[in-house]
Amino acid sequence: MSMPLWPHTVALPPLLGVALAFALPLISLAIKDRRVWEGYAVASTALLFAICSYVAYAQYVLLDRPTIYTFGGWPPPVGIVYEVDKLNALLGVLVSGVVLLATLYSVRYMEREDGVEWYYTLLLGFEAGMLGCLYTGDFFNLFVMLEVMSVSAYGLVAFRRDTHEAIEAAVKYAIVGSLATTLYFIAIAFGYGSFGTLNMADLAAKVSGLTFPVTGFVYSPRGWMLGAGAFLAFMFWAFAVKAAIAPNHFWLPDAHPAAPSPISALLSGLMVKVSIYVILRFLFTLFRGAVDLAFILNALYLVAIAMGVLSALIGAFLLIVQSDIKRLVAYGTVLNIGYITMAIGLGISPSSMQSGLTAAIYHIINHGVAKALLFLCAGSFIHAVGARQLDELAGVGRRMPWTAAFFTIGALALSGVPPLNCFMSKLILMQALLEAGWLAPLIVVVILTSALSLIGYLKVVYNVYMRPPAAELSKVNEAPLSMLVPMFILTVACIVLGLSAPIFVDYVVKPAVLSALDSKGYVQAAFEYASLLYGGG
Amino acid sequence: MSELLIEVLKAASSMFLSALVILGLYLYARSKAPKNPAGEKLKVYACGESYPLQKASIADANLFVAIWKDVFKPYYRRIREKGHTGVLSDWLMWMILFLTMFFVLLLLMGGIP
Repeated sequence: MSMPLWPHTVALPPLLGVALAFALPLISLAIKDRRVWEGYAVASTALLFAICSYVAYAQYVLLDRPTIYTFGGWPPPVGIVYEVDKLNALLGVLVSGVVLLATLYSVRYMEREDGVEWYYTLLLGFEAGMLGCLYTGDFFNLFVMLEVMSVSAYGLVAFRRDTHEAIEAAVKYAIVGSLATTLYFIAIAFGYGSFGTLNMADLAAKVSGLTFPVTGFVYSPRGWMLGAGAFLAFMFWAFAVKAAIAPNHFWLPDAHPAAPSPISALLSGLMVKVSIYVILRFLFTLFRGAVDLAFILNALYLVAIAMGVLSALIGAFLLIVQSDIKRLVAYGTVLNIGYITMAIGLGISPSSMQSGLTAAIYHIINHGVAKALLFLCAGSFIHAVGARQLDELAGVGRRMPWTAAFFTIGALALSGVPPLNCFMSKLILMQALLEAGWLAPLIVVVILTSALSLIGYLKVVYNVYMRPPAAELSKVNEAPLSMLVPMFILTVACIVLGLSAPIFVDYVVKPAVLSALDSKGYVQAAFEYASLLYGGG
Repeated sequence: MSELLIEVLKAASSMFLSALVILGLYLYARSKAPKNPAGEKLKVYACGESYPLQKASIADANLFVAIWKDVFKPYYRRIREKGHTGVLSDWLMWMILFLTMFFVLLLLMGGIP
């Protein structure tokens, strides 16, 4: 089958996202109609979703190897490249799909707000940043796209700049986020100093003992080891901050609730997952072939398990005592990121590496969908009642039966009630812990924290359904259709992803896992372009 | 994987049936209650004094978790006040702890040549 636009399509989502974001303020100067801006934002995110879906379709169905896009035609390791395999193609669909739903939801949710043209500009920039982080094959370009994503996120958290809470949360988030990106910059310095390259495939080749043409020199063996250790340590910590893995989670329960609810859904559902993806990519693809560095990776996997357990426990313990619906849901993110981090840590044991990675990727998708659903439902309650405290939301579910039903399904999914989606990924995580042998006792942590999260979410369900209304709710109506539709789609996704687990895991998740573990394939795809530098092209 | 899904569906169905039984019992109990209570039956009393209905229900802060919070009070104090300050210098301490732990593990697991 001919693919005339290939591989340019791979570069389109991040670049087009940035271009569409920059165009919106100009459009807003020429056309002073918010319906045009809203329509533009929805159409833009729909376009990005269509492109990302095509990229994923091509990777899963049409192609049998990662796709390389060379910017300006410069081959790796000289130029910047994007490298897309099944793993980042899959996550690209998740990101662009949830952003599309959140944008559709925003149309009515933001109807009482001024300055929505800036809101949508930042939203498109945020999406472009996330897609850039996913698709890039260059770890300095990753830093650039990380900044695009982060700066947009700081702006979105501070969008309601007339409230002290949003300003405080945004300043705190920006300071901590900037420190994290600075740490990643330090990691890049160690990486470049040690390996003499910024290209991810070249890095993976060098740690496996291969060499790309026209590449920098590797530092002395002693420095190489130390430099690789420092690179991995700083990289891991930087993205652990971005992913809110305990003890780096403290900014999240302030930042995520302060943002408008659709943005909370994107921050909790997607942005933290992009950071997790980067950790996955480095540990499982780029450094997988590094036999000499195996002990460094094992140390990192051990730390990941410890931080995952800590994250799950802290998230669950603090979730159940929250009285603010958005803070409660935000602590659920800390908890679930703990599960994903534990699953990453299972890379320490060869017997559990693949199933651990399967659990991690499946839970990234499941949590992304379910958490976005909960934030959108919480946003609908807040939009209708104008309050976030559970006491003030008492009885609102009777006036908003669809939203309350969607929230209940999302809450049950996140608590791990079968046969919903998160149960299935937690089950695979528990199986992987069993396969690892000595890590099997950690199943207790998964079960305990799931039970605690169920208690926490049931508090909300009890409040919105069972308690007598705290205030006059006769003027409260069900959320409008354009807000209900995204929630409905996410609810259906929670059910379908659970019920179709055998098919979804076998045909979607496992190919992504194998792709992530295929270090040689990742290197080979880039090496073919690099060989042009020998004069063969 | 398909067998696993069948097991999961069985578990889910049994949970659903249990929930249905509990709901049935609840509805049966409701059916035995007076249909249209009025007057004194609707009032809430505490120590012989009438009490507002809203205050009589448990505040969400204590819903399901009052005992839990009491048992784990020292733990909560620690994670909320000491380990969860949000102060940057405290966070820096965590980072230094992580880096130290990581490099100690490196030395223990193989060492730097």
